[in-house]
Parts: sequence; structure tokens; C-alpha cells
Amino acid sequence: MGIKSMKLTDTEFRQEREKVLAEWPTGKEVDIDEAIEFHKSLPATKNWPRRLRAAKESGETLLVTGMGHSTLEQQIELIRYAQDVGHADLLATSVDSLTRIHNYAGAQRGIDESLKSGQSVLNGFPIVNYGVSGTRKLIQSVDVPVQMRFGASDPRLIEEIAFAGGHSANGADALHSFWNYTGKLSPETVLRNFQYVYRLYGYYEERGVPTSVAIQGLYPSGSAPPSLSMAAALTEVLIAAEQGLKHIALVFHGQGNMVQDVGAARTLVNLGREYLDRFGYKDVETSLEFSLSLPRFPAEPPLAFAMMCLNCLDAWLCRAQVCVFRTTAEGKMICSKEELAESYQCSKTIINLVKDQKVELDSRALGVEAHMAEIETRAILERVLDLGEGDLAIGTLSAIGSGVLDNPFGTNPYVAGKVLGARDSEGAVRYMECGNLPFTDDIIEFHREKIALRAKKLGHDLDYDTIADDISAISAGFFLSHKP
Amino acid sequence: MVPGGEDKIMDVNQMPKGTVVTGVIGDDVHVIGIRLLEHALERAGFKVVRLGVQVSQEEFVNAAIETKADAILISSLGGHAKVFAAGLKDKCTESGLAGVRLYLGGQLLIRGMGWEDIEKMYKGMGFDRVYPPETKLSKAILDLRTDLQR
Repeated sequence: MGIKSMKLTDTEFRQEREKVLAEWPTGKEVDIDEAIEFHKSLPATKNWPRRLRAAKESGETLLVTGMGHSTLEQQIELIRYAQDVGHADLLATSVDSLTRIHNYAGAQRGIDESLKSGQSVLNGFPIVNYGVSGTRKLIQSVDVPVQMRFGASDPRLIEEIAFAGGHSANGADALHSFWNYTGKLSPETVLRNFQYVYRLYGYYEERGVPTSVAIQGLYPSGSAPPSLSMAAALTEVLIAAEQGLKHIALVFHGQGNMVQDVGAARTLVNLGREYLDRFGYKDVETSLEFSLSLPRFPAEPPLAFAMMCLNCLDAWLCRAQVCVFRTTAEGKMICSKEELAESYQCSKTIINLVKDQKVELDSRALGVEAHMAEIETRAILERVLDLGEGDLAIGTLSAIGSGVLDNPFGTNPYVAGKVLGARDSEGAVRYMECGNLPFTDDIIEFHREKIALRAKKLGHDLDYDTIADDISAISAGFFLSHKP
Repeated sequence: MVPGGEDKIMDVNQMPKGTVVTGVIGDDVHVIGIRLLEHALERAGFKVVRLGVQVSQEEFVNAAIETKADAILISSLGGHAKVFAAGLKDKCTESGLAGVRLYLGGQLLIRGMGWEDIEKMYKGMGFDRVYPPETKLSKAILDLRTDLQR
């Protein structure tokens, strides 16, 4: 295919759009110029980037979580309840997994069955089946901005309909989708699909509609130190910016050790600005989106509430504009409107309790975490740039192939999977195996020492069973397993 | 590179302990368990052929033939193991892989059935070893070493 990180030409974009919109009958409803006018008719308070800019200026941390039910009526009821009872600042649309793999006929059967039974049988909102007109009913039923939240290897039609329907932010990106949502698809195909998506947002931006894209890097699952995700995210940030984006949310995946999370998140924000400026994207605004990203969540509601509180506190300490939290139902199923609203209320209360305080963590410890995240992320990023010889798309593919960009738990056989992290004695995540990451001996030694300290406390070597035990321990509300 | 030089445990000149094919069967995409097991197997000296997620029976069999594997290690967390694993032993036997050990682990629990009955059922389907959730990875590796020495 010969992919490059270059802005798609108008002709390329137009020709590809014709094919994408022909994929399902509702694609025909998309009229991008009319959609731009629709966006302009909405109040500024319903536009995600505008709302985030206000939050950045006032130092607010806004809250959002994924939510998706099977029919338009159910979804409207759900998001209105979150807004009216949960006092949600921001809302989201989660897409069902049949739609994510383009099984729109299957999604329709899910809709029909849900209408018949009164239950929600899909695991998200089938946005393609409802098309632009249905999506606009959703957007018009609430007063706050709505984000798309999902992962998919080819979301082009979903995004066309979502944005024409009035969404102004997106939570899917290429690498995150590639690592976690693909069986055997090549990274090149996924990256190319997302270049289209980014060009689509760029098209709206160029015509006066601010749109935001959240770029995640990878989901660490408690076994990937922050730099692994940060390097992947910053690589994709530059690829996305090339397509004309002007608002990018840098997603920081916290793993619960607050000093590590805050130190590394600050580095992510600083490096994001530095690299965007260095490559000439000076007019791209960034925001910070924080999410506590664990391999599993407790199923018991009191424990889930506690995890949610930590998530919000951690996000606030990181000075994130957006905190993505998991509802109390995360560990077991798709949540009800009541669970959603009470989760919003709980999260918001935590933020309200701390928002006027000035809390500073130990600056020396923070400095260490920020520094380690910085030198590790730079090492990976610079190697990606070298591999691409000036082109980041080429560099990214080459880096995935050689394990310079890696993921311990990738689903796809193209992923090297040579790297592995584990929690140290304070629950911070360190590299246990560095695989092919281009790290200096000093970096490797730092991580080895941290892991050795935990081993000393445990009284035995840290092994794979320890990592598995840590993952299981989360169900009981612990980050560290204390099993002998 | 391994912090701490623990990689010395595996001498590079040493013969591999055996070749194993790993993957998640059926419609499942849960990888954490199998990935940790793969890391552990490699460290223990096995050659690991990773097939990833949503692997079909044919893919397991073909990979085992191509790589002359000693064992096939299958993970399943989606709750559909019984459906996707049925008939695998016969396919192996038909393909000349009667001697290849079959291991199964993950979320194999079935509502209303005790673990002993579940284990018996899967062993009846031709699996040599069947593991409940929360099994130590080191136990599976020890079993594998023992089985392959026989």
C-alpha cells in the first residue's frame, strides 16, 4: 500500500468517501456541508473543544464515561438521565461491538429484539443503523457536548455518521484500536483508515467546526510503564496533526500509583507540546484526558466506588481537563441508567471536594517519575523517527515490526509482545522485560532496582505468577497481591 | 534484555525444552492470561509459536504440523470453550498429531457443574490437562515439562 504520513489530497478523500458512505444505506444521508451548518447552529456549550478550553482556563476537571444502549429511545433515556440526575458535564456514545465490525444487519436484529423485549440486548448504541437523523435526535436531547467512545479497526462510516449527527469529539485512535481490537489485520491498514478519520475531522475544523480527537497510545493493563503508551500516543499525535486536526486530547492511562501517574502525565503534556511545535503544528491545541486503566475492575459495587474515587482524585492531581471514569457496573456488565447517574454523582462529588484545594505531591519523587517517563519516551520516539527516515507512518510500521513500539498484551500477531511490566513495591509499574525498546543501561538498571525492591519485600523473585496475582488482586480491591 | 540478568537462566546454547503452539480459541479476544503464559514459557526455555486471538481448530492443527510442536496450549475466557474445542482431538489424530499434548485453561466454568465434572468432561474430549481460573502459570509449565519427558 505504501502508506506515508501526508495529508490526503481532496481527490483521494472524496473518492474514498464515496466508497465509505455507500457501505450502508444510512451513509447516503451524510451531507458534510449541511452537517457543518448543523454544528454551527448548536450552542458553543455543546461543542467539546470549546467546553474543554473553558475548563482549561478555569482549572476544571470534567467527567465522562462510556454509555451505550441498543435503541434510540433507550439511549436518549440513558443520556438524559445521566445529565439530569447525574449532573454530567460531558456525555458519550459507546458503539456496540457488531457495528464496530460492520455487521450492521446483525445490529439491526439486536435493535428489533430490544424493541420487542424492552431489554437492551446490544452492548452499545448501533449508530450506523440510526444514521444522521437518529443521531441528531440524540444530540438534541441534551445540553452538553457528546463524545464518541469505542475502539474499531475501521470506524470510517461510524465517524462520518457520528460527526454529521452532531458529536464533536472522538475517543478512538489507530494504535489503540490496532493493539486491542484486531485479530490479524495489518497495522498499515488500520493506520490508513484512521488517516481518513483524521482528515474528516480536519475538514470540519477547516470550515470552522472545532472537533477533538483523543489519542491513547495503548491500554497498559497494569503491565506497561507509562512511557510505552506515551511514545505510541505521541507518534500518532503527529500523524493525526498532519491531517489537519486542531484539537487533540492527550490520553494518559493512569495505573494508580499517584506519584508515577502525576509525574508522567506532566511529561506527556510537555512532550506533546514540544513535538507538535517541532514538527510545525504550532496551532494545534492539546488537552489532557485521564483514565485509570486497569486489567480488570472490581465487580462488588463498594469496591468499584472506591476505585472510581481514586480515578477521579488521580485525574485531578494530574490537572486533567477530562477524567474518564468507570461506572460501578464496569466489572460485571453494561450499566443501567441508575448506576450511570450515581457513578457520575460520586465522581463529581470527589472533584467538588478537592477542587479548591492546593495539593502538591513530594516534588523530588514527582521529578524522578517525570524524568524517567521523559527519557524513556524520547528514546522510543526518536528511534521511531529514525526508522521512518523523516516519515512517521513508515517509522511507526517499522517500529511495530521491530518491537520498538510494543505492547505486552496485543491481540494481533504483528505485535512483537516482547515487553512486560510489573508493579513495584509501591504499585508503580516498571519494566520487567524491555524487549527491543531502545533503552540505555541506566534506564534498564532503574527498573531492575525497583523490581528487586519488591522481590525483597515478597521474599522471592518477581515472576509471571506475581503479575497474574496482581491482576487478580484488583477484584479484591488491591493493586499488589500479598500472596506468598 | 532482561533487568537483573535473569535471562542467564536460559542458556542460549541449550536445546529448547520443546515447541508449543499457543492461542485463544474461537470468538475470544482475551489475551492477558495467554500472553503471561507465553512469556513464562519462553523464559523456561520453550519455543513458543504464538497464534494470537480468535484462532480456529484448523489454525492450531496447521501450526502444530508446520512447527513439529510437542503441545498445543489453548486459552479461552469467553465462556464458549466447549463449543470451540469440541472435535479438536479428532482433527489432531487425523492429521498425524495423536502424540501432541493438548492443554486447556481459562474461564472454563459452567453454571451448575462442579470443577471435577468439568475437568472430566474436557479430558473426555481429549485434553491432557485442564486448568481452572487462577491456576499458577508455574504449575502448568511444570506439568508440561513432566508430560514431555514421558
